[in-house]
Amino acid sequence: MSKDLVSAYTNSFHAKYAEMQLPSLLGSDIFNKSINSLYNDNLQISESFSRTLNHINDLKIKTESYSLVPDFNDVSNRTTKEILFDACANVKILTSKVSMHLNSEFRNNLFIQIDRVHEPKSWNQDDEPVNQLSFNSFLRWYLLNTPEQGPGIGLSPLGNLVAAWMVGRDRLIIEFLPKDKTKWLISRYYNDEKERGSGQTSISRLSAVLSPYNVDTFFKEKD
Amino acid sequence: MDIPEDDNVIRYIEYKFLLRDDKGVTLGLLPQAFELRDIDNGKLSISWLEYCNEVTHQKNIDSSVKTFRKVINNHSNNCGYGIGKVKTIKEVGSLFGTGKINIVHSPSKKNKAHSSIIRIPNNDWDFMAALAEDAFLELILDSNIP
Amino acid sequence: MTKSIYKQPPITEAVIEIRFASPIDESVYNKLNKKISDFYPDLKPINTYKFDVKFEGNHPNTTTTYETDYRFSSSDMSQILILKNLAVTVSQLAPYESWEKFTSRFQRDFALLKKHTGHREITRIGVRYINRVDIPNQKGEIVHEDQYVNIYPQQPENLNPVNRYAIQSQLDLKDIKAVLTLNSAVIPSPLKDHSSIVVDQDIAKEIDVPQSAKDIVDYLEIVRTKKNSVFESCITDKARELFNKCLKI
Repeated sequence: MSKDLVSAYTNSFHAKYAEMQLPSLLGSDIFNKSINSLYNDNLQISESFSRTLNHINDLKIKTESYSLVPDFNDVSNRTTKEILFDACANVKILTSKVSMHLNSEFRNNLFIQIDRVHEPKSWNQDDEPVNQLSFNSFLRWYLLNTPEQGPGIGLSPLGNLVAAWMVGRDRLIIEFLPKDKTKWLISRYYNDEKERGSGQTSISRLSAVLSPYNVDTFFKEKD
Repeated sequence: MDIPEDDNVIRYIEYKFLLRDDKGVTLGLLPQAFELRDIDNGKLSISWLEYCNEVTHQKNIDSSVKTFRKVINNHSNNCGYGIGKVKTIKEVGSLFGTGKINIVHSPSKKNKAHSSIIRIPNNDWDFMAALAEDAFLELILDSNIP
Repeated sequence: MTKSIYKQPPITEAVIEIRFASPIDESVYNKLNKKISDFYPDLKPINTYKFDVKFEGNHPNTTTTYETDYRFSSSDMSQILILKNLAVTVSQLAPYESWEKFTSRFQRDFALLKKHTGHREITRIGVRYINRVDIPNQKGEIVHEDQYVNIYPQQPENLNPVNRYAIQSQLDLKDIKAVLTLNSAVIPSPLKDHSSIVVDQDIAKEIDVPQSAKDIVDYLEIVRTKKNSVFESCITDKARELFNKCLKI
């Protein structure tokens, strides 16, 4: 095959290819080889290859929704209010992925608390809004353990979600870190003597680690 | 200048650092209320409660809150204030870290009563919890101060 | 096919999209803004850049276009309306309540849009339902997808088991002159100690597209039956058991 012929063929395909607006997946070497095996005597792209490309293009055209892929990560030129809104929106969308497994009352309450701790009027500019990875760790822990009593929600200056329970003078505080990690703290009174324990562990291990402290008293729904 | 041990200090506590139940009722302080940020340069910012030398404890609180409302950026009325005795804070601090913590008067232009807790272990989780539970024993909500 | 109602519907997102032949002027969206914000308090413009490269002879020519779409959402981010240059999309993230609630919201929003745009030729109606089957898998064992779904890749025995897969197929729905695009994939599960399989179906009509509101609604009811039938064909009884588990919390 002459060089001119291959060149003409390549240009012809690229022109048609560009019209279809397909991403360029083929290297030119591979393409030339496929042309060699497929082109017909009229020096056009073969019908079968053309049909294949059309099918690929058809498969790309789908009902679209941006809601699956929120793009809130660019923080340049954003006001504090926008940054806080985006942080809250992100975690709500994250929650939606597992909402079918959540009680609606818990979900609604969680969102109210998340919004309250991100109030723009009282926001400290040196702090970070809720970290998605931390929030994810919290959700995954929550679904694993399913406590009846929901926590009070706070935030660390770095944006880690903090969940807290208090019964009488006893308190349980869990700070959720990214990648399913936690920092926990428990204070309990036994015969008027305070006992405090703390540590770091994964969300899978947390239940076992806290079991000596009888944490069910925190997690049972209050009357 | 060191603050007398029988005096108190008061710390501004943002809403997100208050320990609340799931209904939003405030019950105490989270350890995170004492977490140091880089900008803090290793010192916990507080105010000397008795600096204004008011007649009663409550009047000292009112005066301190008034100052906080003026000087803190983005101050809001859903915040709280933790109050602790200097002596108690030092006792709690003595159980943690290698250095001896101290509470010194460090006035600023905006806040003459401004003070600092210094030589504290950097973001020691247990120390922060001890401050929240055992040292800053009095909690005032801003919404309760006229 | 009988109607199925599950205690924990596996729907992660439901979408209805209407595409128009001609673009809608931005001024229309500005007028709509106020009305729509009664239903969707949060608005976010989404800016997209498109680059086209065309070869003319040996020379590539690039053109750049810039578009702004408008994304409205409810305060809990589960109800979404997207107004684009050539389309309107109504979306419902989980929790999905019911077909009736979802379509009545679509009808409301579409009617509001039509009031301001007047009649516009519709070139495509798409209905997409994305489902996720969450399979408890505490020990990290191999999950046999054929036990839960009926759409998965067939591989030679010596090339099993697979860690991940993603497949797509497309078929004509001749009875309603629409095209079904079916996706199935194993994805990282959002739940601890679970494996997850997505079953995603998209029914798109570009032939004899209904133009009036009534015809669109009638068509959507037909699609409802069709998509339920498709979904039920794609899952097994073992998956159905998972959707009918009681919520613990």
